Amino acid sequence: MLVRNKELTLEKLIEGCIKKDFRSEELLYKTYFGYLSGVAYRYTKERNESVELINDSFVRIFKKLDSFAFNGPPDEKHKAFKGWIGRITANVAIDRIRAKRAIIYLEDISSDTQTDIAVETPDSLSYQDILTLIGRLPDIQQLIFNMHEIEGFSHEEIAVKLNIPASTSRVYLTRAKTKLAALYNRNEHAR
Amino acid sequence: MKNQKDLFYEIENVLHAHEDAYVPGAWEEFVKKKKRRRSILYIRLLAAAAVLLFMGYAAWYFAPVKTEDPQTKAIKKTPYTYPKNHEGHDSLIAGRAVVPQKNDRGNLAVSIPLTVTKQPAVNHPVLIPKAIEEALPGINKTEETKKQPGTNNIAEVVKLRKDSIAVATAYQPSNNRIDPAVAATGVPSVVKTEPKRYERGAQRLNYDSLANLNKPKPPATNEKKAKNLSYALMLSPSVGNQKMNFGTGVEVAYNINKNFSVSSGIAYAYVNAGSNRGTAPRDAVQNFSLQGYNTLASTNSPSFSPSSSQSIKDVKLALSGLEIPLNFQYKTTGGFFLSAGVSAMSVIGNDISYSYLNSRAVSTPSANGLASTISVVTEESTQKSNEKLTGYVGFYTLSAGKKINFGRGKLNFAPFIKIPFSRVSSENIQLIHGGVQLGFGF
Repeated sequence: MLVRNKELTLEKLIEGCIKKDFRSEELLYKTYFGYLSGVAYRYTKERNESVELINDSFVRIFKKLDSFAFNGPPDEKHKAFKGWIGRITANVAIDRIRAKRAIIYLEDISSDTQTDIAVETPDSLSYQDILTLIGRLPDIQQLIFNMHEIEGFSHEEIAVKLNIPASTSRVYLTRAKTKLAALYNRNEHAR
Repeated sequence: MKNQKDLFYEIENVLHAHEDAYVPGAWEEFVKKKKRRRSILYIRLLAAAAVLLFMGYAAWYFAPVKTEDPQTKAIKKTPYTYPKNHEGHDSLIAGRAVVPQKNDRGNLAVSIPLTVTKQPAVNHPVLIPKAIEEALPGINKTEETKKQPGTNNIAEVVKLRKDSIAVATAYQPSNNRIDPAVAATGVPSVVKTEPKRYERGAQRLNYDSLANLNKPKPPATNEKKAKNLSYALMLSPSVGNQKMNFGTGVEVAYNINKNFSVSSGIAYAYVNAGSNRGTAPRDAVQNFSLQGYNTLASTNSPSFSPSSSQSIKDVKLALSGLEIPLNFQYKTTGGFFLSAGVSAMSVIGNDISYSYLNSRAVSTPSANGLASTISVVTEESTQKSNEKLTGYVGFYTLSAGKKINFGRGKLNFAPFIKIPFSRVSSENIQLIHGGVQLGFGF
């Protein structure tokens, strides 16, 4: 029932925002600010900058809100909407990163072997632990891991956004996963 | 022990479920930002509107004022009056009798009798200086003017006209001398010339309102409208910061007046532009020392260990689209003109390509166990982007040139510059370009 009420609220919020209702916009902004703050921080790694990024993202979200469509079960709509706004925020973040500096690829991608490292069942992975783990990856690997694993971009989409071949994106993702698994195991053993 | 999938699934769930606390004041900042953006947009729109208004005002202000021929003015202001005293009289004959006629001496002879007819000037003897009265003693102006209203006697009218001509001829402010012939005969030499004859038909058409009703409209009006529109085929090669650009199309101009015209049309445009990043690739040797050399030293394996860096050298954009311009043109003497306006280019296709500089540091271990040789290899490669531009690109256009008559048409030659409203694509490429517009008007 709670989910159903939430669904109705979201629909009404979206309708209100499409009609440029100030109160609806404020409510939507404040409802999803926290979620987008988490998304933005993963790309900017700086709080002040992430607020700026969130505001840029909301400008684009309000502009494109009428194009949001979801045909799945109503219970999933809230999750789908979060994914949709998360992808918009990621896109804005990447545009900002690209506008600031060229992404430098420092790793050799000529050869790569995928090794599946066994990891222990994660009992209680905290948000901070995960951020620390991801933060130890090289920038390009962090970016691709976030885009593919968290926001759900395909390798082809990443290739277009970052101007790299899709195969390169796959290589970096594999390396990121391998390194994350290794780092996680090392941390677990250290405890 | 489980595989990596569980770990990454857990990471994804935790990150998706996490929500930071709301930062107080964030919404207010967002509203401010939105207002700023909107105000910038309004400023741009207002600037464009102001430019258009200014141009319109300038067109109105500098429009040449039509000066009417004084003779035409006099005729226009003199309404035809039907005779009152003689009912049933042929008004055409009477009208012909009092019709103003052009005289070799100017308009004074024409206007005086008619003015007198309209406004009885009996109380204005001061109009005739004493010198004239002395020269023409037989004339009693007061008496003549009293008789005039309502008179249809041709003989009297002719006499009155002769008198008025005599007065007009004799009274010339710049020259007070009286022609001896006039003084002797009492009739000025002008009267001696052959009087102009009017054809009956022409006379009726000019002054008979009934006849004018059936008068066919002259075709000159349509010709005038046609002259207000002019067409031209345009070709505009130009140069930006990359290769040559090209544009071709049709232009239609409407001449607001002698000096101002507004033009529009449609054109195909192909624009090349680029952005030079100018960033040198990161030092591959330095990078190598961090990543490759230590590994080599530790393993001491006799192999190559490449370390690479990649940086964008430049970005090139090729844009094609349909362009609709709107220009105001101010024409000066000698066929010179100045033109300013805006144009919107609807993007049909685009091609963005990146040039990369790839640097690799290659270490070759020496055979005799000495330090290995490090060499840096730099290569250039090009990649095409899949980014697609949509929508419109706006330009401010300024040009100045000259129109030269060429056969039945006109050749236009006008250097121009186009400044985009904003930069385009995710690479913020500047599309400013300038060139020469060549046109053939017809």
